[in-house]
Amino acid sequence: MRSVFDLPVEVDREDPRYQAFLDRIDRGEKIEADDWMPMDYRMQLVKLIAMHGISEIMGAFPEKEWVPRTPTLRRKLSLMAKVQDEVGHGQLLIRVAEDLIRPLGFTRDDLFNDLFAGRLKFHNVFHMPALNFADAALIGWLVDGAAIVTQRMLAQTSYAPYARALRRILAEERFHAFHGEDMAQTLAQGTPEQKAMLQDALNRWWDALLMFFGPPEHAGIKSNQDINIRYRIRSKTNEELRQEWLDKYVPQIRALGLQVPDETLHYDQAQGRWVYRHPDYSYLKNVIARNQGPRSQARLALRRAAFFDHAWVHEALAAQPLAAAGD
Amino acid sequence: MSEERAQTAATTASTPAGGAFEPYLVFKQMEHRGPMESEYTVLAPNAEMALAMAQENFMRRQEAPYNLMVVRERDIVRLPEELRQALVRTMPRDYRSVPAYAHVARRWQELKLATGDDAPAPRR
Ligand SMILES: [Fe+2]
Ligand SMILES: [Fe+2]
Repeated sequence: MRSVFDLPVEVDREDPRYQAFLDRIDRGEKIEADDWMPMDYRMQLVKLIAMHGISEIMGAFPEKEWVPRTPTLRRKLSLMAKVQDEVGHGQLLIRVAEDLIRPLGFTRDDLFNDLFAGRLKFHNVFHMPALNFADAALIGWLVDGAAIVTQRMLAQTSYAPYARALRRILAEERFHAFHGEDMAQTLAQGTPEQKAMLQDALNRWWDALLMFFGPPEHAGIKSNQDINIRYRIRSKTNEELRQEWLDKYVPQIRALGLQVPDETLHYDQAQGRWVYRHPDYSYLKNVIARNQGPRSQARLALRRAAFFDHAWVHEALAAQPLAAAGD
Repeated sequence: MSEERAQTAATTASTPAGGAFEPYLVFKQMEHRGPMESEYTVLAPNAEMALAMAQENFMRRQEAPYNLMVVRERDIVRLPEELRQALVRTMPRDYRSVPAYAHVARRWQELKLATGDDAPAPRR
């Protein structure tokens, strides 16, 4: 099966358009979908944005499982609204990715085939099980928190259509953060059993949360950070983002009377950074990237089912084009 | 779209290609990432000409937009007036809004005071 990720990424650095492009980037200009761009810029964006978009959708699966079992109508409405938002984020982002691959002769169907074939990855946190309601709370609180830190940085990206989509997404994420924090606060201040559930969820999710940001620069794992920073697709390193997330959430975790499952974690005033035990980042490459995480295959099966079981909706809509006003 | 307008559009649409001038909406964008603002319409035989006419209109002025866009009017589908009331929200949606969660920020403050939080000053 053909894949956009199999295309050769050749860049002629002698091409005068290449230097002009770099100059535009250096001046802080934003690139539009129909502007000339080097192939490696385009492909970095496709990888990043397609993975981001697919992850929004894959992330809706573990969360939606908890909608029917969410206590109180208000919280149910809130969680449902959030899941709807996430699927909407997926739609916005996949459109952005689709516009980047169309000139190469590919469509969104190709991206979904890449997902099923394991060529397009989704974020590590969505390969994890959501065992109980505390996990649903933790996802809204800390996973969305991690996504917000990353997305706030990416909203400054040099690629204008991605920046525009992220602006819209971030406005919605503000409610997601509060929705998650509200649930975390309520569980932590609830019965001892509820608090223990949240602590247990934190213990199980901690490494995955740290890994969400990817390996640090010198972990000996090949990453695309350098080229993405050169092209101003991103402006901060994985470690800088992880530190920002720790800045915000370690105090919250402590304020709830919970323990971070790392007794070495502390803030080093002299260095101005958090010191902590790094998770084993090779897990990302050896397990997650191969879709061998605890729920990888189950979630892909859900996505496949959603795609194929509802294919008749697409077909029905396509067979009966609605008369446009004025026709 | 009114009956009459719909009728006009349908008539224009059925005019054989070549020779039919049609209204195009012109949008200007003052800076990249700025909004596309609907400005005026031009009557043109095709999109390229509509764009050239739109550009010509701007070239005569000091005002220098970042970009221009034209859209053939009959390609725009608007909500008819009688359906616009569906846009009015009757069910409360406050659980989706940030102010509905003001108690969360308040509780963080209380909790952090209680635990004597020694966190670093937020960077950025
Ligand atoms: Fe999202
Ligand atoms: Fe979210």
